[in-house]
Amino acid sequence: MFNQHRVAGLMKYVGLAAMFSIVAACGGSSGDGGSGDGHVTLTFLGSDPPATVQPVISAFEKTHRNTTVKYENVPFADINTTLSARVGKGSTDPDVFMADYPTIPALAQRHILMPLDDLLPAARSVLLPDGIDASTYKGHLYALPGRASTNVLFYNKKLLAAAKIKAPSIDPEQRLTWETVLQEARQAQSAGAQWGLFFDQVSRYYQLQPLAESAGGGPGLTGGGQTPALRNPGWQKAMSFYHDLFSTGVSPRGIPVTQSPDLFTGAKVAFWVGGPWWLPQFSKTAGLDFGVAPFPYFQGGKPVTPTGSWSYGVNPHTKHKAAAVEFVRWLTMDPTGNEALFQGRFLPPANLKALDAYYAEVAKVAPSGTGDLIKYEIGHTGVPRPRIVGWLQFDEATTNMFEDIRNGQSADAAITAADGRLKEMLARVPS
Amino acid sequence: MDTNAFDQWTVRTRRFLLLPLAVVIAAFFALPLFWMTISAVRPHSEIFAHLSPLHIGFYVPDRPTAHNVTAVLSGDFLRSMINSLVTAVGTVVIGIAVSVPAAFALSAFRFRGRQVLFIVIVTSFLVPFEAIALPLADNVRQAGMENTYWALILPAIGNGQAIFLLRQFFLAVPVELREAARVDGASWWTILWRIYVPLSWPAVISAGLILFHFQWQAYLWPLLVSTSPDMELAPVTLARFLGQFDFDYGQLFAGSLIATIIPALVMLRFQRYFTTSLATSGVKG
Amino acid sequence: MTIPESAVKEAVVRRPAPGSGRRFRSRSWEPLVALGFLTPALVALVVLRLWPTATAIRGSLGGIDTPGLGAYRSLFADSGFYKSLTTTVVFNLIVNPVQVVAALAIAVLLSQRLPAQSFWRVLVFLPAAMPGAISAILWGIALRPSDGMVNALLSGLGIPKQPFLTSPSQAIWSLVLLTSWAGVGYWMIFIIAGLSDIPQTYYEAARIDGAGWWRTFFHITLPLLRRPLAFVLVSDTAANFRLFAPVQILTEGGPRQSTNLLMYDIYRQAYSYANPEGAYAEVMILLAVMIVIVAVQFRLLRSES
Repeated sequence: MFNQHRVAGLMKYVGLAAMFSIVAACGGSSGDGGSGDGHVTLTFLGSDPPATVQPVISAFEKTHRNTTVKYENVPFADINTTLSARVGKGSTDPDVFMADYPTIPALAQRHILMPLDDLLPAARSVLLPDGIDASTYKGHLYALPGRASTNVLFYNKKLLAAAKIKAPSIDPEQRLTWETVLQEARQAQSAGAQWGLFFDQVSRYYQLQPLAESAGGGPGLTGGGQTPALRNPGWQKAMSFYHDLFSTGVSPRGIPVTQSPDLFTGAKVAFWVGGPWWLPQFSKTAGLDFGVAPFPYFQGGKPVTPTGSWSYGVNPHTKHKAAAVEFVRWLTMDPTGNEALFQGRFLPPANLKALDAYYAEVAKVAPSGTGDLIKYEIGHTGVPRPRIVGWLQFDEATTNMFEDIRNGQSADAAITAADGRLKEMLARVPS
Repeated sequence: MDTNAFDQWTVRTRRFLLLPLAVVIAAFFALPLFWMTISAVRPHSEIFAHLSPLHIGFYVPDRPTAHNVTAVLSGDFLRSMINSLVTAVGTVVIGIAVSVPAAFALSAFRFRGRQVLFIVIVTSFLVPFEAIALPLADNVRQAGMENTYWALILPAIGNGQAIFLLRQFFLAVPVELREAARVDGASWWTILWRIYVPLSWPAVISAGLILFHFQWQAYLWPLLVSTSPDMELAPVTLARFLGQFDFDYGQLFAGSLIATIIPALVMLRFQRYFTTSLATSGVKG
Repeated sequence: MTIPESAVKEAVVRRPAPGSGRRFRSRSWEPLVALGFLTPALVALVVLRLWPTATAIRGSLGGIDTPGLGAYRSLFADSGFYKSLTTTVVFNLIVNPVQVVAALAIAVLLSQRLPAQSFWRVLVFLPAAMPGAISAILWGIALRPSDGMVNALLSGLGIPKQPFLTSPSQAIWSLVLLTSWAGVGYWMIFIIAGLSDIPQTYYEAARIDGAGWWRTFFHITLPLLRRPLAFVLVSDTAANFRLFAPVQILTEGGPRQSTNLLMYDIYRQAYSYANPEGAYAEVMILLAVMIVIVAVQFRLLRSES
């Protein structure tokens, strides 16, 4: 009886061990694009909600009958991780994916993006020059820009009226200065607004670089992106301004980017600086009477707006090169494709023809003149973010600096600390 | 001290001192979840409208809506929940089948290298999973196993923590019982499943909890190996509600509620194994 | 009044210390049987945990082109690393005993046969059932300095509003609060399992001899909980040393690097900055610290016979 049981027991284990090896030997269920009859299946990776991407894909598949596109959605915060872990290690899927402008140098350097130089001449004539520049690294085109961006100043009409503040004009020539906005924000607060001013992408470089640039501080980097350059009067001025907003109670601490729009839709803040992609949601919010004005600038400085958005790239290890390149080309260089793209998300497109369609859409959800304002800003005041391999490190270090300043550290101390940390971090970045 | 007075005193203490204390403590743990539940049935615009100052509107929604719950159930979340359940249950079943015998070996037998093996097992769960996830994900890709349940379940099987827990509890099973069984001619397999396990139900359930918890909380691993829409797991789907340009807290909370209720109900169901039974006297000690 | 010697002897005799001698009938093939029982687990551990760990160790010692201690050298040259290491150690020295003691206290409280006991237990357990990111988000909202629920409660009680996660001195304690809220219910379950393992006969014997509650607790309950407590302490320590999700979601290492836990930096190096060498080197250091602390904990909770 011993032996029977013992053998039975051991057999169970042999079986289990065998299972491991069999399972490892059999493939998984992930099929690759079966191209038996010329039909190709592409995997497209992005951070947009599937509901907004499906119409784009359907439109593509209608005119490209032999290609199917499968969309994989990863959370926005993890898109770089995913690309690193998959494409960075040689995986053949996804075939096509989204790439944030400032991350393109690092992606290119790590061979995560395939060069698309053949498309460069044609691209130049149909896409925004900013986007092309951002998608280029060391002279080669690594992705095609699909979207652009800018920012405007939203204001709550009721809160301003309560303080008897004249609504700002939407004309870029009559742009308000940050100093004036601060003053009016305070006035609105004394008349009952909970907060005076707040930002969409609070404490992010994207949002605050324009302040430093407008104050003459430059992007905060020199030497081809290897040396931090934050210790100058321009950055000092911009950061002191930012510090005072929070320390004097004009703006709230502790509210993250994801809870920022709620502040404006909840009528808790008089002025809110943010992207035009919020227009549909704001216009649908019951009881929110809002206006649009140009992004402010510092007195004596030049007007600067944030810019830059998403490009679309191809996996260098893809098995379906032609189809993948065609998909990316259609998404960006084809006006139909690019229009389908912005219909989903209401970000300004990078395709010049699609932009016109965009301005027409803007007119439906925004105060009159907004389309012209966006057009003006994209064409005249956008300053792109630095294009360096160490972008993520730089972004993280500056975010920490902005948050420290927001939470009370003096601009001087925070800038010095960030400068030191950046020197160490950027030194570890391969060039 | 006379026993009757002692008994009465403890009963009264229980009722008037300990019960309110238990309620307060349970409330501390449950209140934020209660707020989340309320928020899940509010329209998004109202979620942040009533945070402060403290007033009844905080806990009572003026316009309750089922929209968040219905939206979350009609989207990808339902499928992800099912994936999460299948993965978690599979992990528990296989994990228990693997860990229980291993813990038994470590506690009922004596052999050279037993202590070393124990140290190795404990060290294995000290290593952060995130540190080994990248090379492991590579292996999975090379084996072509991405987007499969196996890829999700297998790494969770090697769980030194479950083995550790079971071993601690198995060590408390008296030697006499085992020896009596051996004298009667029982095989080790019988001893394990007919004596050790029934005496250690709370431990086995807890080991199951460890395995379940590991899978339920897993985020990085599913992100690395199974992002295909039909193989996504719940935590990743939930994370998508806080995207780049839309922050849907309503659906996020509704989905989280569903993801929380399931383990809670299972725990509630298993509570009867955790009570000290008066009948255990004489069985274990 | 002391507990009768007979009860003590009984408890001692029936709880063999690990590593003590056992009397076996047949010794010859036991190692084989034991090995049989261990094999699947060992295979899983080696293939899925230990072998990738070896890869990580190798990775920390440089790639093919640059073998050596370069990654460690740049780590030790980075001033931020020391601060991160200190923060992590201090965080763990506080949070682990706090969580274990709280779990023990609550487990004992909810094992006193109170009405609706299972219900209270599940309520305490609920935060542990929640996805970790969500509990971080919830507490982020609750701790908002201007209008969060906690500050609303405090001002209702006349206490001034606190900065919590926006203050370099309070942020790490806010994290302690958050992780304890999310974790104590989980660890409580294991202690409850341990408590249910203690036979009633011991309590009856103690009562008959007139021992009060505290004496029973310290002389019977605690010693018999030594093993489950060892498990909880070691596992909790491991979990807290590896903590980084709340940092990622709420503070990104700030304010002023006060919450820059080692594991957070490891995650960033490996997954954001594509610097696996640096990440692996940090992992090795983290592991070394953990092993030392866990060894001390085992020593402290070693069963005495």
